[in-house]
Amino acid sequence: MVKQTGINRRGFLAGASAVSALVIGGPAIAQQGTVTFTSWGGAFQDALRSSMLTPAGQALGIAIREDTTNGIQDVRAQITARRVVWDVTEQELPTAETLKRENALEPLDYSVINTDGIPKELVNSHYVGFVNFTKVIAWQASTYGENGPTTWADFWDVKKFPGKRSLQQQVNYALEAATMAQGVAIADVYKVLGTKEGMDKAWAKLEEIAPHITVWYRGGSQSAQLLRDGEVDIIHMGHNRVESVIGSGKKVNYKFDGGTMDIDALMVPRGAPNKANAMRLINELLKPEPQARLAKTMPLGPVNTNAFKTGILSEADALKVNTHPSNIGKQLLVDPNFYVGRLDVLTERFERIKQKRS
Amino acid sequence: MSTATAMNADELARGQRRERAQFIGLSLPATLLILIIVFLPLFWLSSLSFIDRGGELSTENYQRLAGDLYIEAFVVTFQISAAVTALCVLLGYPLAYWLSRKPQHTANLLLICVLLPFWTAVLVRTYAWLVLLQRNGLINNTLLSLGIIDAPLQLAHNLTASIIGMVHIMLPFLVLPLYATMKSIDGDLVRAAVGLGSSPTEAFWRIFVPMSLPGLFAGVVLVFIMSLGFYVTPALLGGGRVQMLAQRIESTITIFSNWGAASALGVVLLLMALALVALLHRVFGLDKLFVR
Repeated sequence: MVKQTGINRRGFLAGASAVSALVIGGPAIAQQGTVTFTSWGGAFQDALRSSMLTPAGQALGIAIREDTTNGIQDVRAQITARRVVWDVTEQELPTAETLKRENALEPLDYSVINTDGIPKELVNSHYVGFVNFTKVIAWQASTYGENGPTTWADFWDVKKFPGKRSLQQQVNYALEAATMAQGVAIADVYKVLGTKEGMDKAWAKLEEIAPHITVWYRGGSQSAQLLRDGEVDIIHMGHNRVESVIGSGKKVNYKFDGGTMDIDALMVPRGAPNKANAMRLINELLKPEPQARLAKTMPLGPVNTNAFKTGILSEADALKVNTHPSNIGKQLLVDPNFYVGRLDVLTERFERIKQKRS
Repeated sequence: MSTATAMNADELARGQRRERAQFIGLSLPATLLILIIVFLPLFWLSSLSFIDRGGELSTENYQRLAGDLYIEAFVVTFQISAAVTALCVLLGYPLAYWLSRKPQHTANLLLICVLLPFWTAVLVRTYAWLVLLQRNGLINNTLLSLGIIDAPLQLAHNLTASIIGMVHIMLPFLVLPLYATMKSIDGDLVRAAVGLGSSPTEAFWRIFVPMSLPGLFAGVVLVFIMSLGFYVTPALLGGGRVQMLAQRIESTITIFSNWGAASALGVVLLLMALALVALLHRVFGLDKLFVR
């Protein structure tokens, strides 16, 4: 089956992804070709499938294969092995920018992809915004009632809001939060962090809160467990997961103020086998209707602002969505360029703060 | 007469050669397997550690390990492993002794209880500890309802929790070799010492304990070396603050995609483990464990 001798790790990975790719869309579809789409798997990808992928496959008359990704290393592996099997992949914005700089992406064809309603700053020559994720400060209603910690200064104020705190164990967002905790306005966060004094102050602020962090959580599912089981009182975590904890009957509150908003982008790896279909699929996924349907399934923000005009979302549902006009201005849009190229240095310093024994 | 002896010797030598060839033939597949799946990757791993990110030959990956972050990780790893080993000895020695004094069928039944957790995945057992130790967990809720404490204790998400979880997982590795050794100790020796005027306590410490040492050392080495490479338990129960070397290796690969640096960490950990075994051998003579 495999002609080459000595499969290396990357070749193996690429091969394994090809094998694990799963065909969706019934035999009824007149197949004019295929396209392989990858996202993060789990409940999120299930939501993508029902709200976006299946309708897109029907509209385009192509079969959409699916695979899952764990991040940048998957794309790099396929490029290095010269065995690209993915046509469209969803990745975080810093990943998109890094891959673009590594010349690992195809330029997007904006004669096919319609970007009406998508904010200009999210339309890049090699990637385009797809879904907005926000991490908010959530708190237990049983501990603080309605008037919980709504700003980063509150998060840092251990006297006014005594209780167990939790942050994710990664430097991303932590420096931004530490800067906002000093009272810096959202619009100025990256301006301040762009200076040496700003960075020094942010690190000092992180050292101040570190001893009060009970859990540095690993990922999304752990954050939901911590909140649901009442392990912590205040936590900075994905707002869609907070909503699902609320949905399970737990008394939890949050505000969008000071939330950190990150965006996943769609991109086409260099050498993708079905480039033309990839562009058509991206165009389909960015339309207001599929974007609104996703937001109805999970309160994840559509990048296409016209999604709120489709009538698919009720007013109550729309207010829970992070990109709703009444919410979007309260959050910090994370700058993908801030971490690119120096994530390792920043992470090492962050790890030292986290490790310090109190 | 002499020709017959010569023929006999010839025949014997041939038989010996045939037997040797048979043994080599039989052990060849396993030897090859070990060479391919253990030594080849090991060689690949160590060669990778001498290549920097630019693809050049350098010691950059090793120089990096002299930084505070990695030294701290090494110190923490060895401290945790030592603590886990010490606790396993404290808990495991009396347990193994008690088991070895039971009649065979009772001992077998009890041994199954020791082995039972062995058959459950480490991940499952670690999550079970989380359920017990967390703020609204079984232990805190029981203590609260009994009025022993007023506020929940911080039992999970720290160093203590990591060590508790690891001791639970490692205990059978200490008990099993120790039990085997204790079982083979002739009880008459202790009785003879008592008969000759020793007190039972003295007989235990001067006769039984020294004879059980080979099993104890085997268990200690096993527990300590395995603890050095622990990942899941400290990652889940440590609250993100307990960072052992395995976690460092993992983050080096997933966050930085730096295989060279991760390999260097692995190589240093391996060398340290080997040095430790060599030291123990020097002090206690590990060969006594295998040749009796």
